[in-house]
Amino acid sequence: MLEPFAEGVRSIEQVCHLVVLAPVAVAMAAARAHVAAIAGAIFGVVVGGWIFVANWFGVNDLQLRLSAIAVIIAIIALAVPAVVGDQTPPRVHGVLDTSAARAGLTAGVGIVVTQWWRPCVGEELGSILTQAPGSPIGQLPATISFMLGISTPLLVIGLIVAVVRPNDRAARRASLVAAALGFVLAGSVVAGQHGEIVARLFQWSQ
Amino acid sequence: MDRRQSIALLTLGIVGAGVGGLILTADDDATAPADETATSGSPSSSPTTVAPNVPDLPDRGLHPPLLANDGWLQSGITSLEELKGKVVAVQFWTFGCHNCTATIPHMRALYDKYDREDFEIVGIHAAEFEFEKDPEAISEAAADQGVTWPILLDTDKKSFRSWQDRRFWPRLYLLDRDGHIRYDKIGEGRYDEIDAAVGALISETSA
Repeated sequence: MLEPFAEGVRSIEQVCHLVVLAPVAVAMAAARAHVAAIAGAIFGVVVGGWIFVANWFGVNDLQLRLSAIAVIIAIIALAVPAVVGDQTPPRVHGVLDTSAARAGLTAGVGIVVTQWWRPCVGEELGSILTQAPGSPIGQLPATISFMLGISTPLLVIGLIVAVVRPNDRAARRASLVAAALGFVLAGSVVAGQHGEIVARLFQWSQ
Repeated sequence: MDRRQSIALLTLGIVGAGVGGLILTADDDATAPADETATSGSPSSSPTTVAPNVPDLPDRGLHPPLLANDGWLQSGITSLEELKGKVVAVQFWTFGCHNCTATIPHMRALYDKYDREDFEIVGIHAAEFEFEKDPEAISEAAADQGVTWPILLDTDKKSFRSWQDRRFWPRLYLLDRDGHIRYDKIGEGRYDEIDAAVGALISETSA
């Protein structure tokens, strides 16, 4: 079970995974990299990865755009407690500024954006993808292992934030910037630019 | 720095060292096959060093047709039907795909190993990005990468979509002498298995 994990870690240098990792990292940052947000993000990427390799849903263009709208809403919801702060209505604040909300929303973003994935297919992922449609349960351990590997940057971001521990003002700014980035990223997908984003990422890596 | 920050910093160091180690190991692995390939060129040389295990080769039916395409490169054929009687490796690839190019040394070794009477490779070039659609660029890349087998230009990805329920690069299908799909592999790797499968299919007699 270590080989899929190792390939997942190695493949983080391939930009194709940014299609998944960038929006999830943005969602985490919007939630100020709270522990619950990091756990939710990694859980979402793992579960979403399993759904992707099992091929349960073929995402069409309309679904892609609708899912991007959902991602925008989730990122805004994650950023609201930090950016708006005390100005948030107490009932809304009481719901959004909780660990459950952070974990749930970042997990949701992870699950959704993993369906946007166009993976670079190495040996281990290739084996998983070849066998998973016929045996999704059998490929679950290898899939979890691989997805945990490519989630390593999310863990690193969380650890960096824990080390730096920004003050409230800096955290608020970071949350605002992340929300804006998330809006641009997911907004591009809503506008039908998903393929273009993937192509740009690819060319930047050349 | 408080205790929590110290623990986070320590964990970060461990994770960073682990990731760095794995990536460096990958670089070492990536250079090794290239060196081996550079010295292997004789028709009898094996692309693998591991004793091959023949995988299951269930009959998945006749291959789908190649849909309207943009022509062939490096080819005297115009359809897969012309290759009936040979084992054919059909590989969907695109020259800018890192994982595709990583398979080329192995495909080259297979191509050198088996006789053209028994075995042929057809590369279906399904461009992912605009810059991969130019036939001249494809020819140049093929020359650079050592791709000497027939290439079908599938610029609009019609065959790419009709062959695959899920669309990935690279994807390899092995067809038996009757044109039936007997093996399907997404991604890199399993080269010894592919080699064994080709050998087993060649040794089968046509129906």
